[in-house]
Amino acid sequence: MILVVGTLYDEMTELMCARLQQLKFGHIYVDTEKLDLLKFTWSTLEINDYLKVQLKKVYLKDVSGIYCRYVNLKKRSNFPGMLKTESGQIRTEALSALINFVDRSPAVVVNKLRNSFSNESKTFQQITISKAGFMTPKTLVTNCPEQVFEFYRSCNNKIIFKSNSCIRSIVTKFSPKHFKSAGLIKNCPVHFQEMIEGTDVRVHTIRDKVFATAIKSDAVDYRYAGRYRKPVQFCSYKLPEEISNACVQLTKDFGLEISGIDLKQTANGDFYCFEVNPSPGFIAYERMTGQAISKEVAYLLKNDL
Amino acid sequence: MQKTILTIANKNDDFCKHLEHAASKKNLRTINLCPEDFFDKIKVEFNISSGGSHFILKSGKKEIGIENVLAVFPRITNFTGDPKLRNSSNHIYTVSEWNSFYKGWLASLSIPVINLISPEYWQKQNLNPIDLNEFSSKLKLHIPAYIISNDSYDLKNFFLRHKKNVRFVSNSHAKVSYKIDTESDFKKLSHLGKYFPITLHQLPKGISYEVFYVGENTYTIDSQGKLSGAVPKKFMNDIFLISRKTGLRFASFEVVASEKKFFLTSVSMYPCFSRCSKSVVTKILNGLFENYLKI
Repeated sequence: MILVVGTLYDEMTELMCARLQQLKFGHIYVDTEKLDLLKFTWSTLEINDYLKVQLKKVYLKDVSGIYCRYVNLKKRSNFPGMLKTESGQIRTEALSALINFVDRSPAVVVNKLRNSFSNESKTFQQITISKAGFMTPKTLVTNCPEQVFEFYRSCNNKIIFKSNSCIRSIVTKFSPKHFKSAGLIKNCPVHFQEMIEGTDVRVHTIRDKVFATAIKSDAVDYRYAGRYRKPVQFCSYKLPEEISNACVQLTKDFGLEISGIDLKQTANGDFYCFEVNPSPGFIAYERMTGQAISKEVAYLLKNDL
Repeated sequence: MQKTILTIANKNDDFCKHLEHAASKKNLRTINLCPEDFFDKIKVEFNISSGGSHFILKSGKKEIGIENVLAVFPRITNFTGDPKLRNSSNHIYTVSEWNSFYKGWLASLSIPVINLISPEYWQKQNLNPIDLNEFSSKLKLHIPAYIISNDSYDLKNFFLRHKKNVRFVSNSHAKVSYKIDTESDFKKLSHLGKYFPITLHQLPKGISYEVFYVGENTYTIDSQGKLSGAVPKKFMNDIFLISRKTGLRFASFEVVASEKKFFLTSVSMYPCFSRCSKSVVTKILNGLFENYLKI
């Protein structure tokens, strides 16, 4: 039996439920928006530990895999007779209990939250990525505007800036129009990086399987190409074997079952690695290239890989 | 330039006061950076590339470069934020960016960082039985039993099996925990199971000891704060193993000696000396200096 923990408001959770249904793999959907419907016991006694959602019950020893996405998309109503803060605390406590169980389950978990924390710091990841043998761009994290200008000059006036944490930001090219607003960084360090020219390659690893997609776009951040009316094209891509193996190893190094790795290939064939995403939203890549990523994840959850 | 030990801790951190005192005797300077300093006074320059990294922190007229720092003692897991921004929409973002910088910066340092905790434990201050259970098959020490459940029958069964002596622990707020040792307390608690799963830990009865881990040395402290030999040496390998796996270089382990077994009930990743006598504090700090600063 497979557990899918998430909300159908999230398209990745919806995709995985649909894929498991299509493959006729038994699964229970645990709606993180309705944790009051969940009943479970997990203990060191282990004899009768179970999870039940409405009429569907599974003994935890029979769970082969858990797919989880902890996203917060919906505005929630309060529990009857309770304040917003009380309702929020109850939801946090219930979700934390569930995460505690999922993170320590002996089943295949895609991916354990505790193994995903490295993504909270791009600079932390960069150090690990660099140790794994990948090239990484020159980076400056600072709240000193004067340092930014110096870094800008040292990188031949070609740098980008983005968030250093896992909070999503649009990767933006730093240009003279930003000089005036650079003073704002005094309140918060910003992640500046030399701009690497080349082709974006997104790699999805599922244990030893690798799906790579080359993205052709003039946009600095191809995820937002539409916003800047720039065309974007996705196509399947065959990675050199050593890069493919390095991606698999990097995923293992971070303790992950699957990952979404952001690479850039330069004109002279070098691969730079930027980030390892522990909760990859691969739906767009699957749709645009026809790669069977969700199917592979489903087999992993069934413990058939 | 005088060699420096850098601590990152709240202003009233007792450990830092002891460390400062011991360091001054060895002609070392200590600088403490409070979380508030990061939002107000500190300028950071943190360069990183495939070739290595360097940093400079500037606080007022003070400038701290890596070349003068012997070791860093981070004593906080996460910055909670600039109080001035707490009600602003930028609050979550700035806190997240400062924490992100902090984690990356600590990991980049080539000097001893005590402790450089593995990412899996970034959100924790203490390891409880649920966290410790993953090591249990390799340990000689026993880990207390636990249950997470909203099934009143299973909770009651656990409560009775452990002789009505358990601890309720919140899953989302580590500091919230209550001893549950009466039927009426249990009844009140089990009502909450309507709203969220309840976590209970077995509470072993016995004498409690604190074992400080410093490099290859351990110091066992009894309830009077004095050195003790009550925890047998054969258990110290368990302490080394857990420290290695979690990235701990300095930690304190709570061990309970019950009638027949020794239990490991918790691990503090930010130890303090509240239970220790003065001579024990000196011994442990000297151990830290010898092991990690080679002085």
